Amino acid sequence: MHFLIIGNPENRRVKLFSETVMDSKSDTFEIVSYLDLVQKKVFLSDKITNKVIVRIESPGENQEVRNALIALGINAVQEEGGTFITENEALNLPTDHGRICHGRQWYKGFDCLLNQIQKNVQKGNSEIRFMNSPFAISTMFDKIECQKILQASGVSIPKNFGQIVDYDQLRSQMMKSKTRQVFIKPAHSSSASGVMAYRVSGDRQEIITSVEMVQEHGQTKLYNSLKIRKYTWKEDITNLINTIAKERILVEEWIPKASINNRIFDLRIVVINGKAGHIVIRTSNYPVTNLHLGNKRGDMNELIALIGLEKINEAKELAEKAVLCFPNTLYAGVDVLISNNLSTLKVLEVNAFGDLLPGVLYQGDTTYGAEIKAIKQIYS
Amino acid sequence: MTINSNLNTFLGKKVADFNTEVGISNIDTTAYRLRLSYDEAEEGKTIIQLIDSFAAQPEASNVKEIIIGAYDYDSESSTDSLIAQLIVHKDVFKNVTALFIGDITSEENEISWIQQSNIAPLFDAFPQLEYLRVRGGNNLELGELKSANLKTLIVETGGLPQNVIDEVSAAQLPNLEHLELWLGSENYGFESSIEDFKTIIEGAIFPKLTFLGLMDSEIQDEIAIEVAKSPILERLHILNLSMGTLSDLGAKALLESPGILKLKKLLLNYHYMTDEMMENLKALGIEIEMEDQQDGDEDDRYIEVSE
Repeated sequence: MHFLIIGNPENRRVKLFSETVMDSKSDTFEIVSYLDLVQKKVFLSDKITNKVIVRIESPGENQEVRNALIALGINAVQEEGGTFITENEALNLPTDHGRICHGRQWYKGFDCLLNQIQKNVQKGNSEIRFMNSPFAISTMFDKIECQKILQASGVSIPKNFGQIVDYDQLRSQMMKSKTRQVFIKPAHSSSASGVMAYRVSGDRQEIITSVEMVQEHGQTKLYNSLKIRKYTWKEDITNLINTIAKERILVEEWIPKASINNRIFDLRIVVINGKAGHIVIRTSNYPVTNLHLGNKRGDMNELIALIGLEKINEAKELAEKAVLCFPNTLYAGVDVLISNNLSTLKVLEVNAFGDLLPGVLYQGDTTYGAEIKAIKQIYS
Repeated sequence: MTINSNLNTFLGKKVADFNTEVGISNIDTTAYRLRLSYDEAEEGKTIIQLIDSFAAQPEASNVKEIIIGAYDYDSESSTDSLIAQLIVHKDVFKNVTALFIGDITSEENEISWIQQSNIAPLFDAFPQLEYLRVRGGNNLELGELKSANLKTLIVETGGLPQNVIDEVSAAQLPNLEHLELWLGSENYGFESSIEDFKTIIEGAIFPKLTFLGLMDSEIQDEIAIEVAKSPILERLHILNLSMGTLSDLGAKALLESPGILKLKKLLLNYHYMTDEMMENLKALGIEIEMEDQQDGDEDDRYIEVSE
């Protein structure tokens, strides 16, 4: 089989996947870089050969690509009446490492590029073989849309609020629904970027997050960091929420999670070709469980001892049901919450690029290995 | 660090959440936690109903332990009404000798946000109580503490209020063996000084005391210095000065105290001592735990659990 990988060539996802392809002597691959695509240095229609398998990887962790996608998003953001920066501004955005901004415009640009990919692949080939379709990826990259779809299909998710535009509105919504604690997530972020755990009790409140807030020339800037911080001053909290809300946010109830070995945890379950297999237990001392924040993987045997195989199977079924909501999706990483009393399961997120779990094997295969096997089965 | 786990075991028994549909069984090996689940709270159920349901179990009158976990999720309600409800069923719970009010993790609520209340009525209703543990210091009152049966008293707070220190200092607990107080932070209600602990540290009021824990404190050094001088060391088996800002200053006093050598165990986990001081303490030859060494200058030290 021949794989066409669209990604950032320097990114380890691309490297790991192409290495996995190379494991089989009969398979070949070619990498098309996002930057070349956006800058129209390469045309997909030229690259599409008969029966090629197209894998679309994350465009993340590359400033130039990010800027280019932001530039590409101008028209779409303009159409929906949002604020935007010009092409010139976008392409010349300074390297401001970890800064959280222009999320909506970036997403619109990514969505636009995904549409182009769909069209150009179609042009070049009568039989389209995406691992994950551009449309599915685009949908999964909109957390608000994603939760709507899951809810409509009866997948158990935390309750969420509609559009929240600022601190005051959020407070009144929380008051109305008697919700004491919520998660605030930018709609188009990946990993823990911009995620805030917010709670209120009487006149006290706090935000626990890896976001760092910096004041510069009267402007509030938010940065991703690797350090968990706690904000407790109303002024800071108001500022944080008002700033992140500009990015379009999903606000959902924060259901207390279960703990294992004195650390709270949730599960990342990768579903491949409809079947849940690879599982990582993400344990943390803080409400945000993403592993890059110094959090640790938990031990599967301990999890089995804690909740039992039956519950784990229930979680796997839930993850499978969640991915079924997204047609033309060969694989996705589903985050599943187990409540404090070990009974309730909820789908927190479905991640289009949630299959990067180096070193985790299921039935002898890595996630990438299992995906390649699955696609061969489908097209054999 | 925060409290991330509920109890897995309690006084030698496995802990299980009480489930109204499952009921209770194996009370010889299982201690039950009454915790309102998030879903139950959503459905409008209350901890009061859960207590009633627990009391209605055929085995309830033989239950020896009750653990109260998260009792609410959407408001700032206090433990007042649940304590009253436990008392309503005092004749059913006539064999309860151990109570923990507040097995609550930080995911469920911050320790310094838990709204406790006056728990003195518990002692009148359950004179047989031997073990009482409470988490959360806000509005906590112990009242006039008088019991010939109480052997263990544990008060875990993010900020120990002065009234609780006074109440413990005036307590009449002739058989108390284990006293553990988490002092917490001045940001969350601790506003006392070392003088306020004089009676407790001096120890004459608790003649049977063998375990003293004065922990999680911003004045951990001062506490160590006072304890090091106290005659209570003659009687203690275990001294716990963990979770606070203990540095070489307080540790030196411990090191030089002859009384320390009489301890069976010294617990100093989570501390700001230097490697050198830890070596010196090790050389004492008594059993010492000194896990979780912290790094921080004098004005950059934090206790383990506060918020």
